Amino acid sequence: MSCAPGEPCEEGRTRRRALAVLGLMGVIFVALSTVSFLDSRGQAVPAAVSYAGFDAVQGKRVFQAYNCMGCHTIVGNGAYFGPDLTGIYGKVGPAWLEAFLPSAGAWPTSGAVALQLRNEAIATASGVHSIDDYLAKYPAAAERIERRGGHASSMPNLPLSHAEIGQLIAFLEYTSKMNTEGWPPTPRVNGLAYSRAAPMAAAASTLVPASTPAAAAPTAAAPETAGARGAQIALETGCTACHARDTGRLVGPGWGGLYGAEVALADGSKIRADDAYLTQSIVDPDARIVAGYAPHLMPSYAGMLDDEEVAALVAYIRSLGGEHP
Amino acid sequence: MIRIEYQTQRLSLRFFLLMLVLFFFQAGFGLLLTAQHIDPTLLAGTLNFNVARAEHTNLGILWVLSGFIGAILFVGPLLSKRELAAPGLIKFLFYALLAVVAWNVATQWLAQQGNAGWWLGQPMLQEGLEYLEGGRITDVVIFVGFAILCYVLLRTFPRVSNWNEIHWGLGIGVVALTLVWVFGMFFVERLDLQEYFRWYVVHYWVEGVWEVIHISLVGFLLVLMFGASIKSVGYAVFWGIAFVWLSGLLGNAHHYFWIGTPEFWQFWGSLFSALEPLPLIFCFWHIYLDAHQDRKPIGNVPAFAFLLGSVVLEQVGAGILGFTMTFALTNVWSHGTWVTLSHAHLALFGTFGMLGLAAAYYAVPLMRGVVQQFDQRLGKLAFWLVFTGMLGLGFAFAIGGTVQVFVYRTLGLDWFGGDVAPAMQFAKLMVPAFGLVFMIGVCLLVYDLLTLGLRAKATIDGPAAAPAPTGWGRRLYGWETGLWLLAMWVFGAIITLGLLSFNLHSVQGGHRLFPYLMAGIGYPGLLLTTLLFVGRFLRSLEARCHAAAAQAVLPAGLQAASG
Amino acid sequence: MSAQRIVRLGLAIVASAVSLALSSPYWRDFGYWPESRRLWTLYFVLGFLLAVYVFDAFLGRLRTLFEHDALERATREDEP
Repeated sequence: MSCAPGEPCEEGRTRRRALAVLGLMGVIFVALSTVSFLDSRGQAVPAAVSYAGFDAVQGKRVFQAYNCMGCHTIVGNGAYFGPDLTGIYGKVGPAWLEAFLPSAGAWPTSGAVALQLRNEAIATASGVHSIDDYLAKYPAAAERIERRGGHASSMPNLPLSHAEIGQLIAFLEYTSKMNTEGWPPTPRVNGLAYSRAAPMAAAASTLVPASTPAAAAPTAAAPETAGARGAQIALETGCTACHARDTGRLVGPGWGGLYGAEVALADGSKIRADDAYLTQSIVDPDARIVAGYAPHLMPSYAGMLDDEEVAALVAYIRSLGGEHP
Repeated sequence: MIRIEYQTQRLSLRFFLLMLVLFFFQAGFGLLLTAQHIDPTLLAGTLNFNVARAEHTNLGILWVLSGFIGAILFVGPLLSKRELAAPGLIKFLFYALLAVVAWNVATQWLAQQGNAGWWLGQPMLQEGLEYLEGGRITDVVIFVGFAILCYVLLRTFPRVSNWNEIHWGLGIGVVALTLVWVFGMFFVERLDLQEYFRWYVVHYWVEGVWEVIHISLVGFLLVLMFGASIKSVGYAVFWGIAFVWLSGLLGNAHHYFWIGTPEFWQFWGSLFSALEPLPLIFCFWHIYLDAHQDRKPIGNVPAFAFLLGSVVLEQVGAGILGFTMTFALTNVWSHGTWVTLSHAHLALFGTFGMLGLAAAYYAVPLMRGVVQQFDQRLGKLAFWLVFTGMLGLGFAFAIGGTVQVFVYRTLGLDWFGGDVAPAMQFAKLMVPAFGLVFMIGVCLLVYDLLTLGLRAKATIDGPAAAPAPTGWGRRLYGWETGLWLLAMWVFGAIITLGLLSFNLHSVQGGHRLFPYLMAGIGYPGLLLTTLLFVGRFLRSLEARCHAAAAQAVLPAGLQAASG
Repeated sequence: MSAQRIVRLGLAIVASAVSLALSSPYWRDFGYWPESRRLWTLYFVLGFLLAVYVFDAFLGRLRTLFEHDALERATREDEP
């Protein structure tokens, strides 16, 4: 029933008018949509962005393949389990992301970021070469290192390859270049001054989980044995983000019981994990890759750690058990 | 209607049962997600949060679709006055749906390995886009399924010249369901363009197409339950759909505020989504009027309870909560936080989930031949548990979201593990608490519908057990309904002001009292009003049985005279 | 125009004005030509007119919905 009896029926005309207005709205929508994506708008596009030789379009494929949006948001859309990633590249810089992504289960330390800056491509993309300049240029990276460095993060380690990490960072560089029209709003206060902010961690030594046996050792002002010094280096340089103190696999092989053990290499041969092999694995990790691990994932520590420091690290690994040759 | 008129209507039963099974698993994944929110290391590496969430969102869509298909197959023959065309195809559709559900559940897990199955430039196995996580293979199978549904329904319908508004609504609905789906089937390089098209599927699908099917089905269920006239329901269906599109076509722009599209969308999206509640208010009055059209006792209380729940939660979840966060000035704060979750859960489960459950409660007793004497107590209890549970979830999400906006956006603290999550801890604990209430309701509901008419018959309450038509059971007049609706909108306005207040200089200076106060009044006020209103509405309808019972004991002659 | 029609239109205009006020954009930098001041004015005017139409149509149709109901109730009561 559309008309009361006795009145002239206007229902048909009213309905046609509604459909006509709907048509006009459709025209407006299509026109606005068209001008939204013209080149003259000057919006960043992924095809024009590359980072250290990696392509942002490929990065978008990686972003989708790992369903990053299932925990994080991007331009505010996605899940709300982790932080928004749209502007993360601009905030923390590429070296921090390079240090974080391979071993996302732990927050990078200053040493881990400094190591990435030794890579020329990463330093160029960052625009700075020293860690001090980096932390000054990217205060969000400084804040993360200071408050979270060495802690476990809530993110699981993902099996990202070296290339996937570069592509992902290229994609994040693209999104941080996007004009999102004022979103997210810029905070007007320093949130760290509020009680909602977790207290700052005092020193690197307190970052070690208390349950691990190595925790107590490096707290002394001047570590005495080479092993204890190695433990401290392992922490500061961020080795422990990838290598567990037991036999478990985080990102790289666990160090527990490794020393002196027989190790199967990717090329099918076997080798004993002695001082020489461990030293080489630290300064030139790609020389002899262990079976089941991808190349280029571990950065080289040559030049970052001197011979004495590498020896201390090896001594630390030796102290974590295994057969003595 | 007290018995099945067309045998092919029985084909809908399997879709309703599948809906229930998927609903159970979806709610289960939801509970797992709440646990992972409290302990992020839970199952990390085995079943990561993003995989569990993809299962939760995808199963949510799939069970709603399964319910829609069931409801459409059930009403199709009634609307056409003949058997469904191609019943063989419908059986095939069912097995295809089963296969695609199993395939999709399995392939989502590949996200943990970063394996999308890239082939021909398309992600074949899974694609990691919110709500559209299924890969291209899933997409194509679902597309074929929709095409089959279109074919069956359009072949079953009478000639176009004989269509009324309900035919048009369902016909356009299923065709658009198929066509709009295509926009989600391409890999798009640009993030802004990809999000632009993703919202075609998510917004136009849900708020445009599902809504059209929803309005049409609600209209026809009212015809079936209350004997409302097809003509006046048709009028409401036409204008309901017209207002959905008159507001929603440009209202979709509320998804284009911050994705990298130009700033003019902020105006168009805000203005037209301010109009989006209009069709919902229209639909609300339409169900009120039709339910009160006759004074006859209501036969199937659970079916009507879910139908009412669907329309009321649509009003509250989609209409009011959607309205509060749809303006650029409020959305800039709520966007990307838990505030949006309260809207999404109430709107999606409320509007579409409850409609599927209403249709199932209407149809399953008929198909099992127990319409005259089925025990409705379990169904009513299950309704109250899922309804209360869902309102509670909406409350927990909204409160958590308000805290999140303040900590994350106003203070700019972005350490989720250290700063944001601990601040939201209370809300994060409320979610599983209400989630458990919801889950118990789901279990009862699934048990009840699966075994309805098959289990031993319990003693059934006579009409004398119905509530007395006084107090909360007295007749619900239009003016009182209007007051309830007004109260809901007043609380909605308080919530809106609370979100707007994040723009205030003092709030941005770190003073959180005002937005917290407004959220603390607005959300519980809105959700409690909703709960009480539905209680009031249902009690007044159930009290009719009481009146009928009283009438039955009158002398027959007197009754004839009064008739 | 009947009084009822004028009241309806008046309500629609007020409602649209409120909606327009709430729809103030969070961000405007006038950087791109479709975001120029002139076009913004056009958007405001066009948006307002369309909103008035939708509100007006809504109020009118809602009224008819109630009229139908009253009418049907009357016919129902006429019948024995």
